[in-house]
Amino acid sequence: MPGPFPYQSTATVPTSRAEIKFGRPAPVCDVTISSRGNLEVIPALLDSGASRTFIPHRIAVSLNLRMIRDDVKITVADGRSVLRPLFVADLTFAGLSFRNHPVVSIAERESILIGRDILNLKLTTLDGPQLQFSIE
Amino acid sequence: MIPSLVYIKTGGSPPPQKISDLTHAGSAGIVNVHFVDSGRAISSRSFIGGDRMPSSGFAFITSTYNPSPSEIEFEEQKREFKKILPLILEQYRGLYIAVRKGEIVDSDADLDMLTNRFFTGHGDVPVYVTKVGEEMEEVIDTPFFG
Repeated sequence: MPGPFPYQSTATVPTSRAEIKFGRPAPVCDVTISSRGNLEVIPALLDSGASRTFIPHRIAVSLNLRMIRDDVKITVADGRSVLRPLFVADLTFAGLSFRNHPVVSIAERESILIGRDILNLKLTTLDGPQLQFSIE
Repeated sequence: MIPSLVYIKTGGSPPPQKISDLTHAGSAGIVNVHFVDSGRAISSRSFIGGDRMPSSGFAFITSTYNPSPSEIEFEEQKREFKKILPLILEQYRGLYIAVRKGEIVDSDADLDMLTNRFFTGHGDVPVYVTKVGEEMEEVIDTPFFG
């Protein structure tokens, strides 16, 4: 069983050294996102509030991800909607791999959101008191 | 949701133009257009030279740039998709379809299954994916989306 992995309050993007703050400790782990031989490691938050996995748009550009749709409607918490592109990438984290997986890019984030498209495939255990999680 | 009057404003503050005048701007590459209603952005979309502009909506051109080879390939697939007859599409209503060179090459009720199967079988090639008869929509219920 992959894990347990410790919750994190902050994470660092390895390439840019940018620090990402999550506030209270959260289920965060590094995701390797790759395509066409290019790869980058990005911190990711397990987010059951996201219906799909979202990646920073700059990653889609820098890795030259394959775009398969340019106008997926994204509705956010306050009811606003935006149209965002859909890409395909390989994702690896916590010992799990997802090949040719559709991901939406958003410009406003530095981290990845692992959404229910992936979480619904796995048994995820959030151990709040121990500040750790596992996914299998 | 989109207002009935149609204008675009290029760059900072030139006078509004009818959106039909935008077509020439697309010839240089992709044009990112933001639709606004009462000063509030309601959606955005990228257009490429030759694309038909919507017949309604306020839009502001925010940038133009030369598209990457991957984007050009995508736009070609999208254009080919638009040539598919509605009667053919109707057979796939409610399903996700993968369209390559104007032909529906695969379909599935599950987007993730479709993309994985398509790229496993075809390799890294351009494709247009859509859901027939329904909008492709995702939701972020957590309040930290910018």
